[in-house]
Amino acid sequence: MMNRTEIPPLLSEKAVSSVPQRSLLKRLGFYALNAAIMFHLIAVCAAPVSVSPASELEQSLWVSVAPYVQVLYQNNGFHFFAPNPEGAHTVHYTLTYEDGTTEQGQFPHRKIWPRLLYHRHLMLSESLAAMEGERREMMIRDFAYQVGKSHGAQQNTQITMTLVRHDIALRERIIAGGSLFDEDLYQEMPLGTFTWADLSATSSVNSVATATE
Amino acid sequence: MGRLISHLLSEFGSYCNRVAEAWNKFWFTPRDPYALCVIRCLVGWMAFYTTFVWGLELDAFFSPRSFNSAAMIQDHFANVEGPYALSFWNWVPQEWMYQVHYLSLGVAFCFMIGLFTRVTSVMTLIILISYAYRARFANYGLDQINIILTLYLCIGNSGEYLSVDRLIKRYRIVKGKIYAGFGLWKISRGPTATVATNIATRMMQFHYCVIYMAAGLGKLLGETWWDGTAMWRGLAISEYQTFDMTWMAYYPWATDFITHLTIAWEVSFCFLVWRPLTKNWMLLLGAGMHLGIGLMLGMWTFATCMIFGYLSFYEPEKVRAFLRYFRELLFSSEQKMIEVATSSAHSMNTAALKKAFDISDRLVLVVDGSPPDFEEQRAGAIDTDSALPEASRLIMLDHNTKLFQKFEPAILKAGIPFSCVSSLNQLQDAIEQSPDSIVIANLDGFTDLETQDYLGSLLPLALKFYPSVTLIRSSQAQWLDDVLTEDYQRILIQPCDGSDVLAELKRALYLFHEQFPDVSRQVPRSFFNSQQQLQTETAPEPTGFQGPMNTVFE
Repeated sequence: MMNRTEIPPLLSEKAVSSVPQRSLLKRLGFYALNAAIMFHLIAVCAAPVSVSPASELEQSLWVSVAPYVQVLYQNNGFHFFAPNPEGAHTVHYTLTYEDGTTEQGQFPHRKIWPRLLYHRHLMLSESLAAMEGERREMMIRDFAYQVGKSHGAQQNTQITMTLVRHDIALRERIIAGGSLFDEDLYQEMPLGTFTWADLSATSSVNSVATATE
Repeated sequence: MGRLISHLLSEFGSYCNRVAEAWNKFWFTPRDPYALCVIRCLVGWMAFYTTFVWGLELDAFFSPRSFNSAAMIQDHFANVEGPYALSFWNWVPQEWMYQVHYLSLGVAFCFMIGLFTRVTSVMTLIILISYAYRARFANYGLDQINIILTLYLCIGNSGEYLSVDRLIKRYRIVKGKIYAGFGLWKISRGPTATVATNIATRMMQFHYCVIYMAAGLGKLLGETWWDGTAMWRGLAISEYQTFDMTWMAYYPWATDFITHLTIAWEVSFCFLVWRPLTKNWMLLLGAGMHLGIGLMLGMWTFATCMIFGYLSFYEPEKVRAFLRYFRELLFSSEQKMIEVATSSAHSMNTAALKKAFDISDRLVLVVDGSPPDFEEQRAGAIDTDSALPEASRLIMLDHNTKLFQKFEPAILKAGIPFSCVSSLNQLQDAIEQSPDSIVIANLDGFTDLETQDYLGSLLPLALKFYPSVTLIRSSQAQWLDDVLTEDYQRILIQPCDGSDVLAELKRALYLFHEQFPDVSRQVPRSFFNSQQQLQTETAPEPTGFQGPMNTVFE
């Protein structure tokens, strides 16, 4: 009743042998595709490994793939909350109008909605805190300009900017009765005072009118 | 010495071949794009939403004198990051800003709904990169992951399902059928698995591994991730907080534990996510961690976007079955007939449109009073008795002949030519002798090695063009994760009875016929009708949760 057959050897060889041979052009294309995959994998790894501290080899790897990863926005280190979660920064400002009245504000602040927009503003202040040199000064002016613009500043309006660092309260402080908002956790870093006339000038030269340290 | 060297070289060559084989299997096995399409819907929504939110303060972020002025950004890229950070915003005049933004929103929306997906996916990638580079100092993890996922969605065929492109395709098929005077119940899906989809999916998986490994190793440089206080520090940043988590200070063991768990999970993710036994746990932990970030730190967009990418780690059939399960729960499963008169173009176009949207195949189009061969389509059998003089050979792989004994009376009664084999080699030989065979394989009693050989080698290669039903035990299901089968290669997990096997066999025949209409695989209907306990006329679509490939879990 049952139709049993002899056992043929080398099952896997038969399966493999049924794969058809590719033409030369297809084979070259296949090799190119493999090379492209390999290159992409290396490029994807290059950005995270080149984050400081990095060896010279890692840095030179980064340099060699930088154009590719930069065009595709793959130049990210992915070091989220690393090496340690640190305190946050906010930008505080005071506008002094011609008639002597003042207006204060800060960004980010909790009224910014939706939450994604709040985080955009938070990233701005964090970026400013991490930045150094001439570009930091340019960024401060850009911030001051935006603050003045959003508050309808006039020719002689003065805008005073301050970066405030809010350090993290340790667990021990909370257990001892402290709070996340204790005054000594805040550090103020003056960024400068600008006049709207100067900020709204068309020149892109980064000249701080009056900087108070 | 010479023989030793020759032996070593031979071993090394063999090893290299195995590596190449594994590499090719990993990257170049065609994959169905269903999971990628689901990711497209989700990431498309995120791309649209992020672009929309940029628009709420477009001037503040994208005008030449924005928070990051054009001069400052250009100086930064020229001197720090490099000159290849291209953004179309560098060339958009200020007076055109809003028009360009609305156009970008439109493109992102089209990408989300899957309209002209091939084009809009690439355009969305360009949009996301341009926005991110122009507002460089307002970026964070969300932008990174959004762009990474969109990049890979451009490579894979992410508009194949759940898209307007798909609806247009369905509409055209149905319209063609109706105008030709045919009724219709089910629209053939056709073969859609592609290598590009697999490459995109693998890239996504690989990138996630790199992200978590980098995140984990980066954290290991900080002492707070070692002393356990990092999680507390994260929760205590009031600028991030959604809820007041100060009370956690009184439970240091909890924050310490979460800190160590986070590190362990991040560093081990790239090793354990590939193992069937640990994959779900790794993804579950990851989802929990990201949802925690969303809840505690208010970064919902980033958290959900990261979780979207997790779908790439699941087989498309599993994702499809998961969504189908909810669809069955939410929508009525009743069949409806729609009368279509070929004398009215409006009637035909409306019916075609309705049927195009009928993704659950609930509508049956009756053209000029004649319904489609409904029972045949539903049962999955092709009418055979009159069409072909001889039925296909039925090959049964059965180690202990239990399966054969179950079906013997029906086979004899229907007069089907058959072979019963008991080993993989015999099966290989039998299908070579009868190329038009249909296979029922019972892997009960097979060793792990044989099971792996069958599922990993025989089924996707030698049995690639054979409609088949494979019965496995749940302990053998671990081998399914890396197996890619065709729709007409059905897999059943035991215990299951004869009616299940026959229902799947019918479905396999129907799906095979859909893919290869010119190739015949026939079984007389009398075979399906010969056993009273089999309710083959209804042969319901599986309603339970479906597992890997086309597995039906009981």
